[in-house]
Amino acid sequence: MAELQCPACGQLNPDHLETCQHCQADLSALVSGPGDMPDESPMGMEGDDLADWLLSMREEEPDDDAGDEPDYPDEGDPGSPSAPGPSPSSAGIPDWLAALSDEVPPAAPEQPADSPEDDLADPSPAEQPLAEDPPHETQAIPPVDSPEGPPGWLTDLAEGEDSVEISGSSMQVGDLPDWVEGLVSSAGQLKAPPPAAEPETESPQAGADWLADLRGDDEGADSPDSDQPGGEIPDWLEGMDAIHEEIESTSMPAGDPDEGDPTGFAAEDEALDPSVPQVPDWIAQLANQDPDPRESLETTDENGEEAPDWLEKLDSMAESPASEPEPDARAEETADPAGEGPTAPEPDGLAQPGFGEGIPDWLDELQSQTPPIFGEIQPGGDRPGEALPDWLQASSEEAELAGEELSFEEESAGPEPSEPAGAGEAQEDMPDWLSGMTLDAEAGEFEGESDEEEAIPDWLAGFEQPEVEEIAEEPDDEPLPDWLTTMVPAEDQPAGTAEQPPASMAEPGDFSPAAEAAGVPQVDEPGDAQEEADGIPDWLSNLQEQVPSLEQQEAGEVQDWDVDLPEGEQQAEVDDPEWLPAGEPDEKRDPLPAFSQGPDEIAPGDVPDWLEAMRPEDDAPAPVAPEVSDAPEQYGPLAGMRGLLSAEPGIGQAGKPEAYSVKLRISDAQQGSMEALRSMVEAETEPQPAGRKSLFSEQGILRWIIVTLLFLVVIFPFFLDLPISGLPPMARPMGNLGRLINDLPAGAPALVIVDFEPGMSGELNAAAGAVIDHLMLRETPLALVSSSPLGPALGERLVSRELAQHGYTYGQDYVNLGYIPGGATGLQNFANFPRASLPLGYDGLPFWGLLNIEAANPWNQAPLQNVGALSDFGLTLLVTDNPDTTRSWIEQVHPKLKPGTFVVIASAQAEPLILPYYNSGEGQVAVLVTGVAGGASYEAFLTREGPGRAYWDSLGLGALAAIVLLFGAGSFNLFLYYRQLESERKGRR
Amino acid sequence: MRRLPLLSTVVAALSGGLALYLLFFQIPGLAGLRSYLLQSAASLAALALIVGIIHLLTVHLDKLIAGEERAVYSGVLVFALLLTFLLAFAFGPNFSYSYGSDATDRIEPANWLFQYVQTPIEISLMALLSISLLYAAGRLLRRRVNTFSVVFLISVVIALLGSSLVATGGFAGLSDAVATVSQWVARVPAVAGARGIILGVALGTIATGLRIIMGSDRPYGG
Repeated sequence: MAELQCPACGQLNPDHLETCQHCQADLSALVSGPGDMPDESPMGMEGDDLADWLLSMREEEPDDDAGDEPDYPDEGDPGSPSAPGPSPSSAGIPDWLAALSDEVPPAAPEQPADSPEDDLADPSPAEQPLAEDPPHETQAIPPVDSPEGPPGWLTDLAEGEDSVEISGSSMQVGDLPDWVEGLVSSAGQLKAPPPAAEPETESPQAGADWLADLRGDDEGADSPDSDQPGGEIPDWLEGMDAIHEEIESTSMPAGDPDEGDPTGFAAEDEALDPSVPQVPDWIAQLANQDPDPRESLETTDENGEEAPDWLEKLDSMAESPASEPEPDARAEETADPAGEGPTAPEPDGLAQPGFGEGIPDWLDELQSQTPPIFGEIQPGGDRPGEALPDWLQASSEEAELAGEELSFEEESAGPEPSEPAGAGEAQEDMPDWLSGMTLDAEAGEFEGESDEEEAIPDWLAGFEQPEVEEIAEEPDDEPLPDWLTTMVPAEDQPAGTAEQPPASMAEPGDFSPAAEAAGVPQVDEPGDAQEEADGIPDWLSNLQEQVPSLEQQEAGEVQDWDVDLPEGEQQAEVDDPEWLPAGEPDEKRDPLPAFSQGPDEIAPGDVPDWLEAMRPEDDAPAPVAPEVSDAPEQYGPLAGMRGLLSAEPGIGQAGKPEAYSVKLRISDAQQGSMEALRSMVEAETEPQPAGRKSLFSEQGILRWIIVTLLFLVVIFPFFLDLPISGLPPMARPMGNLGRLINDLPAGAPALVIVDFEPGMSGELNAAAGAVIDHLMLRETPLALVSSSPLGPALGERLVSRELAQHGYTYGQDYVNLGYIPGGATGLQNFANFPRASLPLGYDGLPFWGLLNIEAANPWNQAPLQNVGALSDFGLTLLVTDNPDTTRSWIEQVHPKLKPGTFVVIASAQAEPLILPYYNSGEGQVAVLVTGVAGGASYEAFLTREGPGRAYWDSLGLGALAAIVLLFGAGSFNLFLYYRQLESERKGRR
Repeated sequence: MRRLPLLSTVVAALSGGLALYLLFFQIPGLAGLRSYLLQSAASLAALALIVGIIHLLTVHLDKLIAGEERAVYSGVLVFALLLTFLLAFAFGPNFSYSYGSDATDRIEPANWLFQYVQTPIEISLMALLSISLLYAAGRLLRRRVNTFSVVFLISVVIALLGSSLVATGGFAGLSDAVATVSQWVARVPAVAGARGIILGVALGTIATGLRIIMGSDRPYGG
């Protein structure tokens, strides 16, 4: 009766049991032979369930075995997951393989229905895609197993063709050729999976020359005539290179060869090829470059019948930077889509039938002679407490690829395991430590017995438990390997190895998961120090001695390295290292590594004397209240409790804040100056009362003399009633004005512009009176208008009062258009739109008279009935005393007037400013009559008596009196001026 | 409120520019617009006059109500203003009241106030101005004796001589000489100065108009 070895606990179980009687692990995968696979999984071994490495192997031996299904090398390939059982024929098999075959349990033969031939010969739907792929067509579909005889390649192996020599030679340790070393050097480069499109050419992407040569020699596995497996020795070695890649990506499915890496198939297949059982020294070198020591172990396990030397090089391997794990690269590898397949080649390959039982001696030696490394991996599967080397623990980072693991576990534990039957058989034969190494392939079973932590390897447990706990569970009496001890001082060792310095020593950015998984927690874990003390090597003990305890750190003992950092940074690093995975319990976090404090270094919180001496006295820090108060809390929900943190200063204070005075400090002198300035400013704003001046003061007397003299001179002609002087000389001929008025058409209105102030009415009434009188004599209709608010009233007074003898009536003989507002703008508007600008006249009626707009409209009156524009006026007479107003009228209105009809009667004071327009020669001002003299002259022209002549004598006498006064006053004042100067000169002397 | 100056500036510039453009270029369709702008300006000026009168009234009313020291003058002003407004606006400027059977027994209150109050007051101010100017000219040589003060006095004397009896008194050749000199001063130097003033005013007006159109000068505030 065959027995099945539980992949979880390693105990043997009867083959009829589906679960392990020891650990209740699921043994169905082991019980069910490969013949069951097609029944349960239509994919069978052909499509998805085929491992990549197997497919690749098929590719490498394509055509010579294309029609010879029994010759397919998978038949007896222990590394093939599709191997149904022991090879029936061992003629050409090496001894070690034959031994493996003999030791294969008869589980598979007991299940004839599981014949892989039947199953695999039956094309399943999953095979169709494979068949559609020409390169894989002949490799994916052929029957895997043929019980009739050994496969051809095994025969070839037995016959010594091709690789037999190599195989035979490789059986012997140390007989590896030099190219193996090249293989080792290229192992790390082969990790990158080549594209599936070019499997054969991409597989040696590692760049090894010998691989390129292989390609050149073999033209790839596509050649139908190529004698691939046995004839080309480097192929399997290539597979040895690729095995690292494939083992790392153990979850890479074989069910989808299109997505998988064909080259990887071949590599893995050949790596698991029993023809290469011996692991020579190059394995050790491979391990040096293999970032995953577990892979090295697996590799050596597969080939490790004679591979003790590499174990001897493990020390150097561990110290070699080449062994530094590359989690990213692994992640990329494991992230290969092919890794989502349902099968896991790694355990299958490792659990080949008869493989476990055929443990070579070197494996025994591994267990016995290499305690530093493999002593931790007990054959009995006592994984709890086993202390893997740190580099091996670092390799367990691969297990962080949780998705990969989980997917594999699910598939392995499923009711229809796609795992080939050979896996179960291989599991029996697999040594315990290898079972532990292939734990991920048997995770399904492990999950079933998760309560038994014994079955879980340490490196896997490391992902479920904190590393510290692993260390704590390590056997205390288990000595650390020497190489690990030697690695301790090497602080510059790369991360991921056992000599990885404490993570806290490294920069956060330098942290790697391997470092986290390696030694960091072991060093820093303060708890269970005594428990660890026994099993911790010396270097670790030294580290612990150097690292202060947590209490010491809390006591404020800042270490030397800590002093160099600002306090905030220290705290940030200590409290919350960024590299620490989120969600990890605090107890798992690394406490700060402590270092010895030198005697010369500054103690935390202590200020050196020299620095203390430099501190100003005033800057001495005020005593700070203790943060924790022993007094019971008085208020709030925590009332009555002691030892509470006190509130921030100022926050808990209640009450009115201290009042600060804003009063300025000024001295008495400053106060006096301020008062003086204030009084001066106030005095300036107060009105000063006008001083009483005497009527008979010097100035008063002079003023009174002037007034009296002028008054007498001015009124004297009125009382004399005789002409004192003749008529003034005619500055300008008045005949033009007379002719202009006389030539006015009958009924043509004249526009009289009364634009002066009442104060100038005496002069201008005398000047304009004669002209207007002439117009009235001609019965010329008059239209009065003004740009001054008082102008309409003055015009009305001039016409109705001064010249009342003519009997002009408003509305019949004259109209008063009123006031034109707006200055020059209003004049422009009036010039352009006279009717619109002045719709209402100054008719003297009350405001209610304005209700009758038609009656109030002056333009509807008789004088203006025929006037639509200013050019319709026969004469425009401007009476003004303001030169600015005169300019506005000339500039704004004159262009709209009838040419040569604009007459200006201006005050004598405005004559100089109006005279340029009169002298311009363009006729802007046709006639200019200025002042009393002009009026008197025009009166003389008209031979009429008027106010002009009456005012002229008074004006003449008054001007003469003014000249006399000016001379008299000027002479007197000039005398006083020189007398004053003389007195000043005398005073100076 | 901060956009109000900008708006007023834009309105002023557009109005001024458009009015100026329409002054030089007659566009039939825009003649009404030009008239509208001009009338609006004239109306606004009249309204401004009314506003000024109201402001004057309120200021002096405030002084009167406050009882300041010289509020009596404010009282007189307010009284005269309201009285004149009442007589001229309510009854009309030519309103007459007959107090007898004769045609001359009638009085026009508004014209009477203008003829016998406002006009004599302003004429009296002009008379006082003449006396003050004469007095200032007489004391000019006492305070400051320099070339300009002397030239100023000589100019005044020549101007007065042209209007005095000396020029028209028939003093043989003296009168003609004085008249000639007086007329030359009035026509040449005075007109020269007046032209300069006029030209300066014209240039200043153009510049001011352009500044207003361009918005650089905002006499309307903002």
